[in-house]
Amino acid sequence: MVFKNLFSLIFINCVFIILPGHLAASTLELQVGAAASLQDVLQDAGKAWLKNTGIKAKINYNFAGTSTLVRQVKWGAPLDIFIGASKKNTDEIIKSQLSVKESLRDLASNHLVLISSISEDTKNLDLNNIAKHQASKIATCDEAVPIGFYTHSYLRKVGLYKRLQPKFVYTDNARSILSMVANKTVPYGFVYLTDALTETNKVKVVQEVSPLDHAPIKYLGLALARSKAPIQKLAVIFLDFLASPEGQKIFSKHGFKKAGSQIATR
Amino acid sequence: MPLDELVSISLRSLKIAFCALLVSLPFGVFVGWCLARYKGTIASLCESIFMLPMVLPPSSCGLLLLSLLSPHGIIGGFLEKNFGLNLLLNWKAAVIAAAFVSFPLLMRACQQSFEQIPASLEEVATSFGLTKRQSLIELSIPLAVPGILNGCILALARSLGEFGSTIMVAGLIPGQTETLSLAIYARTINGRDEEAWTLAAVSIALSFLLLLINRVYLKGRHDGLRSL
Repeated sequence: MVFKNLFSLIFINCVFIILPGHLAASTLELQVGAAASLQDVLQDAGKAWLKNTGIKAKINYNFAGTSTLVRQVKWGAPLDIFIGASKKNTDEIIKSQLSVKESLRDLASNHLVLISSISEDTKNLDLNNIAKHQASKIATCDEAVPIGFYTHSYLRKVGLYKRLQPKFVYTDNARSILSMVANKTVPYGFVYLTDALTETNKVKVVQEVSPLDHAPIKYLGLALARSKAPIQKLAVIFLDFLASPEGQKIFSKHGFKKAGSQIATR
Repeated sequence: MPLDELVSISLRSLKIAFCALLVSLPFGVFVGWCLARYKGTIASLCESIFMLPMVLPPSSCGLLLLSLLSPHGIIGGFLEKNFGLNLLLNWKAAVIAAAFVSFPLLMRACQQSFEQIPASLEEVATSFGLTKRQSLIELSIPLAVPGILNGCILALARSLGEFGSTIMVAGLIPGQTETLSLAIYARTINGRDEEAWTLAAVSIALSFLLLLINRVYLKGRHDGLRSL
């Protein structure tokens, strides 16, 4: 008898735990996987989109390094939208036929900057000095991650890669580079300008890198093919909003450059 | 992946694990002995605290160590000022992290080993004129060696697998702090699957070997006891 009661109790509990989940699932949910550096701007844009259009949906974000996101998409992670920070990674998804046809949207562009923690003495500091200083370290990412790719190709172009390489501390994405510099774990790092702008009381820009010295930094969005048809449609609508003048205004408010602004130089 | 890279990563992992063991061994033996001999509220409290690294999220261990070891932290600041020693983002940091998380295993094994040696034995020794320290070093520790060794092997195996706090305090610096577990992670997220698998195979083999040694050694001990 005790067991019977116990079982019915468990059953009732299950009903109460599972049911709300089902009810919630009946409103539309968008799973967005986006480059870590888009953290603030996308959350803003998502809120504005829902508010302006009155669409009843919930947007869940998964921010990570673009290369990590590509792996997740390839492994079949439940994502509806992918927004990466490089063309190379986006092409990889298109080539694997994991995206919705014609859903590619060019959303924004960015600048590469060298930052240091705010307490660092950066008078007359340049990369040559950092290369000479033995103990200094530079936070960076593997070349599979866009920020690492841009940084390393820039350093190669200016001929400093070999000398600076021993100083590299590797981490996962642009935002983790930022936090390593912000909390003074590492004195220097290359991040996107917009990342540096989010922590102006902890980091400062030492040097801006000319956009001509590396491949253009592009944020490209894709709707993903594994989602159900209505979600795919919603995903494209959201991407269209981000690419629209209204969405672009939010991007530029966060310091991003206009989509395609660098393409003209190539 | 190039063989020399594989070998150097594996050797570095072993080096860090062994150094971590050397760091934690004296503490492990001493704390283990204390916990075996002294019972009570304070002892239980201490025991729970010392066991924490084993169950804590590795990231919170990492955060704790990061704040202690950074040049602005208590320990890191002291060492930097007085000895010019930097314990962040180098292989020494990896050693500290590994020692920290493997300590509970070592301590527990020592404690259990000492618990099997009756306290009265030490009392007899002191009544024959040995100081308390002498009775510990010359009597109890030699008797507890099998258990301590058991703990050492487990701690080594744990150190080899250490990941979470290591990546936070030692960072991922190829050629310096890149241990097997960090290398596997970096290669997996960056899409170099083949290399990741090779490294994983090595780490599986190493860990298996350690556990096997532990098993065979323990079995030998039990058989030995039975034959007595």
